[in-house]
Amino acid sequence: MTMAPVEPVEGEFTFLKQNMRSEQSKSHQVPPQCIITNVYQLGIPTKTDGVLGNLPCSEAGSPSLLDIILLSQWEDHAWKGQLRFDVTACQKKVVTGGRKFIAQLNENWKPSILMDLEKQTIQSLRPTKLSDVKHQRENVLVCVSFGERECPELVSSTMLPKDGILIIANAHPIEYGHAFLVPYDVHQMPWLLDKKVLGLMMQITAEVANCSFRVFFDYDASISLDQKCFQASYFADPLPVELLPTIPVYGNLLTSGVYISEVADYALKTLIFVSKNLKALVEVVGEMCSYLHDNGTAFSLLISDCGTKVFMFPQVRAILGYQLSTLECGGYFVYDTKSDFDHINEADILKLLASVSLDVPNFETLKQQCCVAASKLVL
Amino acid sequence: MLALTIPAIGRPVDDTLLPLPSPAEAMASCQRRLIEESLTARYTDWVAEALDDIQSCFLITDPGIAGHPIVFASRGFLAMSGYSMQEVLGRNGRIFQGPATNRQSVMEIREAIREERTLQVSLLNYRKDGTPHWILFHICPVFGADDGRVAHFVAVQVPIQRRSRCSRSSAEAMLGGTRGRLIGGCREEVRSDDLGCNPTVELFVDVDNRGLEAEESREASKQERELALDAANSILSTLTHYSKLTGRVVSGKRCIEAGFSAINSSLVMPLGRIKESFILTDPHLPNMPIVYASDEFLNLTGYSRHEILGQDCGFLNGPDTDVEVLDQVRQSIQAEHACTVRLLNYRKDRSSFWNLLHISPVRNASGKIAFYVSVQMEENAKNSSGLCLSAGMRQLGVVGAVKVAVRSLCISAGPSKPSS
Repeated sequence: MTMAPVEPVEGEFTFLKQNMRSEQSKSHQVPPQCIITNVYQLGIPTKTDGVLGNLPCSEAGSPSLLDIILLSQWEDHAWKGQLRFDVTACQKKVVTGGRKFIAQLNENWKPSILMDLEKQTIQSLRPTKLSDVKHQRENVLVCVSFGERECPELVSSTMLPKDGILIIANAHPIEYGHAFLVPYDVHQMPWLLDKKVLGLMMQITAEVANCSFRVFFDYDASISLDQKCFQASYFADPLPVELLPTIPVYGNLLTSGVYISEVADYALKTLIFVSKNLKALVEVVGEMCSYLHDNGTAFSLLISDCGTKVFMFPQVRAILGYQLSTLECGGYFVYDTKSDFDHINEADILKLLASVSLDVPNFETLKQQCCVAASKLVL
Repeated sequence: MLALTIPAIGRPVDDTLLPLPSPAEAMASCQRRLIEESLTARYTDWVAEALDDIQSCFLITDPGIAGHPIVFASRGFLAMSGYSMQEVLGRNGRIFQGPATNRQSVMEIREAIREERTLQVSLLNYRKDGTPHWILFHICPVFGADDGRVAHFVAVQVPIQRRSRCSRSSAEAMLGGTRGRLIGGCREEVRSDDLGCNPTVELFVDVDNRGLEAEESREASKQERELALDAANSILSTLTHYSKLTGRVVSGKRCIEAGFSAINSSLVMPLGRIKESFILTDPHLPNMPIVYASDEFLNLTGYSRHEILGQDCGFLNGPDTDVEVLDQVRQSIQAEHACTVRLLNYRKDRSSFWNLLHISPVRNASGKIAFYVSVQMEENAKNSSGLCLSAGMRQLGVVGAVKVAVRSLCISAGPSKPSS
């Protein structure tokens, strides 16, 4: 009888973790060769009229490299107990009513946690403090950087690339795979609403190529941008807003490259930008972000459908001074007490959404701006 | 088990019936016999005649024979497709697909077959002369009442009549460009793996694409859908009737006693994407039976799906499997923890392999454990995924993808109920 030795499977991530631990115990000046990070190098988009080139752009085939990396790294973190709780043990339900809003009970979750974590995470990534990133490295799932090849690839690097996007597990997740996407540059603090950053976020969503994967971003005019970052998570179900009918606002995919529509009959006025052309989509959405920023309007962005669709939720300051998160705008609400979770009803949610919505004249103006931005687009 | 003198079904058939070019003559003749006897063994010799009385276009296939071959084609089908009986028996239904056949629809059909359920889908098929034509494809499984396994699939095909372009929705028109790209993508794939040797199809690519620009897809009318359903029902009742004569009774519904509750259909698509060896087991049923197995699991172990669904995982173990490791697995499951072990497992042919096994509980939208996922990695096996990732990473990637899919509200939670 052969005795099978009992041993866990050793993956790269185990190795990575060990290195991180050893790194932590050392002084500030760590020899770079001791640090090993998974670096995902993006492929160079091929020149096909700016269309997403060789990006998957749909989830027709088997899971993509980046999809597997994110899922496996997050699962590894969860398994090793590096997250505060098992988010898959949180109950979810569909709120009674026609809108099919989603409610989640997450007793470990506090609304302010997110903001505090964002602050910590981002501030540690300021150029001057990049060396302090190390205490965050524990939670780095992967660093997305620019590659030199046509196809994306995963390399284990001893050094962080000089610029890129750190994908950091959120230890207080809202759903499976919840992570922060933090753009950094050793030379300068990246401007988050920069079209380059926006383009990278869309490219990441496209390369993950999983319809469950969504990237989101909350912009609050009153908080300085260097405390904000993009987030991403996997949601098996579409957010309720994604299922609603739409009304065309501008263009169509055949002639104009970008199709803009508004969500019909939703308490929170919402715009949708759709394109297979990443460059065009970034151009128009980026333009609109700048416009809202210049006007001091808060907004949230939701990137879905493998990077081909962006929802924009402009918000006015509600009486309570409360801004909704992207997920809330999309109809997904997290409650930290059982009684709130049990007693939530559609009418209250609709009231909440309506309280931050732009009024009709302002939304009309915004739509006109969209048309202007889209018509300026040179394909 | 079967009398060898039973004649082939359908019309009189001679020995040259099946063009099987394989050098392995013995295998070929064995395969041929299986195809010939597929219907007669279960439904008697007279079933062919009865099936011929049904006017519709349809095929009957046997998923139990390698390659899932066609074992019967109706007169109507042969007339519509231009093929002769000899040319289709023993072949797989994919021979009717062509360059512009929508890959998505083909995937849907594969999923339906894999999950053994009924499906109606519009499909662009090709006749023998290479001309494309739109059909409503209606496939349904025929279950054996004795064991709950699928005995055959019935595939009814109803031609879809052309309707004016006005009926197309504006949304469809808008997405026309997208569809065009998709078809462009399929063409190469279909050509290389299924039709590389068929020069007639190549010739028609340009011709039918011109037609397709005006018509990217055809939706079947309500009437056509009903026609397909009626045909399927009359074929089913014919098969059921004749099966009673042999005592090997079939039915359109899986018997609950014989089968087991398979997984929710909304899980099928996301799970089908995962190209690794894994199974789901249901901890709420006695002995934690397997409720889902990936194709890669079947490839790895050599079993077919109907042999293992509903079984517990014990069949993977053998004389040299370490009992202590099994015990460790059992304890982890009891404690609702994930675990990774190295275990000696056995294939159907009793050859053994070192299995780097990871088992993890998977929770549904209610936060309750719905399944355990077991991901098998054969030690030192060639990485078939084409991605340069470690086995451990691929393994946990499967666990993550399964966990995401099972969290869907479509699976467990209905409309909100105030929890007790």
